[in-house]
Amino acid sequence: MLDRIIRFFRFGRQDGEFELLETERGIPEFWGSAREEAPLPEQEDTRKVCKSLAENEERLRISFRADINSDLILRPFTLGGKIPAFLAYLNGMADTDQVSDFILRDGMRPGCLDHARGNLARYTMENVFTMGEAETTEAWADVKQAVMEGRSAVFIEACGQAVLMDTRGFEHRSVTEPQAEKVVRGPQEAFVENLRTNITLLRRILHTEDLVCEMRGAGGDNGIRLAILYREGITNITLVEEVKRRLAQIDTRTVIGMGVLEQLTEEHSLSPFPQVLQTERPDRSAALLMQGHVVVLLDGSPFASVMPATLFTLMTSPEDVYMRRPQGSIIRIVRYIGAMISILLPAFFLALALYHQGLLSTEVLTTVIASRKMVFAPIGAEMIFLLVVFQLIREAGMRVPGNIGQAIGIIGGLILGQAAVAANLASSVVLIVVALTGLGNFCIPDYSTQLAAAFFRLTLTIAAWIGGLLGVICLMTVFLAWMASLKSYGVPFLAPFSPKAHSQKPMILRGRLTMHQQAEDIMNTQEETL
Amino acid sequence: MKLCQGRVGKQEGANLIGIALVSSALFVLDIAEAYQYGNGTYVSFPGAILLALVLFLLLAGAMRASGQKDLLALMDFAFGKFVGNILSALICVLLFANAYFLISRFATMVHALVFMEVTLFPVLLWIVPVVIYIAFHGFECIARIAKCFGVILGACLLLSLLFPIDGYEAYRLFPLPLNHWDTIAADAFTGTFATIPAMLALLCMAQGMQGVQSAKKAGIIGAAVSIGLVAAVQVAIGMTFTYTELQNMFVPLYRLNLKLVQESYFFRLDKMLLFLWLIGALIAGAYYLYGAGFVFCRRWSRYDIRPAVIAAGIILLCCLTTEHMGQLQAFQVVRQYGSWLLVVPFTAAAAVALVKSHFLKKKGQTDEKA
Repeated sequence: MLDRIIRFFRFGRQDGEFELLETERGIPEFWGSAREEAPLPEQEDTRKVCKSLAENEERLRISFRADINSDLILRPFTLGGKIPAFLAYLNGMADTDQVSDFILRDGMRPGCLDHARGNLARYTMENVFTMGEAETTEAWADVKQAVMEGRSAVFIEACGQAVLMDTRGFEHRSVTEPQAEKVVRGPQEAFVENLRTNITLLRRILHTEDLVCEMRGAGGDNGIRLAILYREGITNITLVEEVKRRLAQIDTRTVIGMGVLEQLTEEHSLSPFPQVLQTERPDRSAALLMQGHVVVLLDGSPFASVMPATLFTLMTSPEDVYMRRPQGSIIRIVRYIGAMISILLPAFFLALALYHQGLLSTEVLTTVIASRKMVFAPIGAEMIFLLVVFQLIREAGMRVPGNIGQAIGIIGGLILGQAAVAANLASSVVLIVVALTGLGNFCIPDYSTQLAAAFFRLTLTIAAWIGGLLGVICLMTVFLAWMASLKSYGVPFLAPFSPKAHSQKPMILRGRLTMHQQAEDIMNTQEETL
Repeated sequence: MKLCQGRVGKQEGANLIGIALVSSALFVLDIAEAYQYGNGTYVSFPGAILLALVLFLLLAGAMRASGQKDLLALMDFAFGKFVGNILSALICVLLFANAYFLISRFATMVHALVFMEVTLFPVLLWIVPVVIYIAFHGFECIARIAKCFGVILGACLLLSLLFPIDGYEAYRLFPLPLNHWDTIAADAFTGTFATIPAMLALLCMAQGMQGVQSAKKAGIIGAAVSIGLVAAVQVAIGMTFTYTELQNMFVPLYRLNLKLVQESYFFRLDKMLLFLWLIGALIAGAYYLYGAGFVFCRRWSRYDIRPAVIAAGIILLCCLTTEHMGQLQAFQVVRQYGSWLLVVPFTAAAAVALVKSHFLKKKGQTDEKA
């Protein structure tokens, strides 16, 4: 029966006609796609490094598809003029100057093996190659991983170990100014795509001996490198273990950025609010590390993930601590007011204008009516239209480069707004409301939180259109219930306000800098807290 | 068993109790009957909360003396499993009834004062799902929202009393506290059907409150603040309107707020305040609904509380809709006899538990000596 119905809705399509959907896996189901069990993860390579040089070379050629992959360089040479050996590295990932000067030149020097005895791989590592970071291994998986990361591997005839040396020297961006978290007073450097550089940037700020940097691989067989940083003995060990557990569970190949990693590790994937803080500023990450947070850095991503994150962390700007206390407090108050305006103003205005005109004074009501006299669209549709246009301008301004982006903002904001009012597509009052909303939105320091605010704003506006203040209040309570039940790595999202913590630090106003001597109470660190 | 209790602190607990008691006392008890013999509600309404607090302290003391972790365990200890089951069912029903009274009152208020053109059902469709949603997230979530709104709601309530201060006249208060004390005491006792369940629910969830002591402290603070707020509001109402006016008045507090905007340059804040109180009602309603589900699950179900909360919410919606159609009067029985049903058995439970624990202790000491 079902087949007959499906055939009927095919509208006489001929059998054998080519379709893009007819893949090798067969024709997809009418609804959705065929559910297949996920392929089993590839078995871990437990092989050891072979004593035969030819065998090792052959294995590498097969693993890296050397017949069609010209990136893999396999350079044979004679170690000390006596023993055959070969060097393996990936072209472009390894620094060729280092490879030539400190591996090949030193390795081919005659007489360098004159006093060699015992394990040859270890002897060459300790006496021949003049590299800073080097190790010997007999695990074949480690060799493959090292070569993929840009390190060089030296294999020696009749030796069951390989020497791995850090020759990573690929091109990367130098440290530049932050793009999204600019400050007037404070350091002007941001993370880059190089993991090692990012760790160095953090270590340069933090001079505590308890700062630990654990290197891990994530992303299934892709094995992208990441670093987990925390203060051993200070950071709550349960939090560290939870971070590690979640990172270990990732079995997706496409961990190509911090955003992906964040989604794969967060608890509530449908939450509009982020559950980790992403920052491009080393100073901010360092400050949070000192407070007992955990920072995760990913190779290839210019952002650090800081976990856990609460609402008050997300609403904090790195500049707050660089200002004097009164200035910092005023700016924070303005920021919270801006966020409230951004989320609530369109919905409240719409509710009052549509359902509760009695709450508006006669003057304001007359102005609203006069400005909307010639506008043909209902006020709800007008408001939503303008909110969407605002998002459109914002997205367009962000995607196009530099000055053109600013120009788009000006054209969109001023000229388009003026034209829309002149053409009676929008009223000036609604335009002012949306403009205020936009300004308020930019007061929110975190980009993900700005997007969350946009989601709340739009849904609250729709609720106001349908149900007036009743709709706004009900939906607002639902959102607050969601926030109250949300937890980021075990820390309540509204902490330390709700639930109340022991913390004496003010949440909105900026506290005394002397309060930064100790970690925050909500982090449950292993030291005395505020 | 997943009861979604979480870990609730004293501040959250106190705010929750405050919101629940103030909402119930101000919006469930303020019907025409309360003003039948005068506007002595400024004593009787806080008196109802005070009586609830006394019973709460008695039960908390009994729990502490007998070493029981929550109220349900105390009832079993005092009367045995069978009577404990009956009393649990009673709490369950009364919590549900309080959720019903509160939501029904607010839905009617929103319908009658704001959305007069529509029927009650669309208003209920906005309110009840929100109550279910909050209750669904559990005790921790309810208490945390209460913490977020508690101070704001209290401050707004007090501020709304300050604006119409010009119209206050003390001569309108009748009877004065010492006159007709028997009527006032009777009114206070009758009002306990709306105040005791909130306190009992807190004792039922004492484990979520991290112990009886913590629950006791939160209950005392919440009830004390509620007594102050309710007394202030009722004094303000009593000094603004005579009791004959109040007998025919729908939601006196709303009318009081209407006074503040008369011939004022301020925007009309009456509806704004109404919606603020609605937030309190949503939180209190969710608390009662969750409480009913909690007692039911602790007693008779071994599984997740969330289906129970959803089911209770749907039943609540059905009851409210049926009432709207003029076919449901069953809940009026609770209004009439609820106070007796609550005060008598639970006072007895506390007394029996205290006596029993005293004898058990004595027996233990004798055995030790022997």
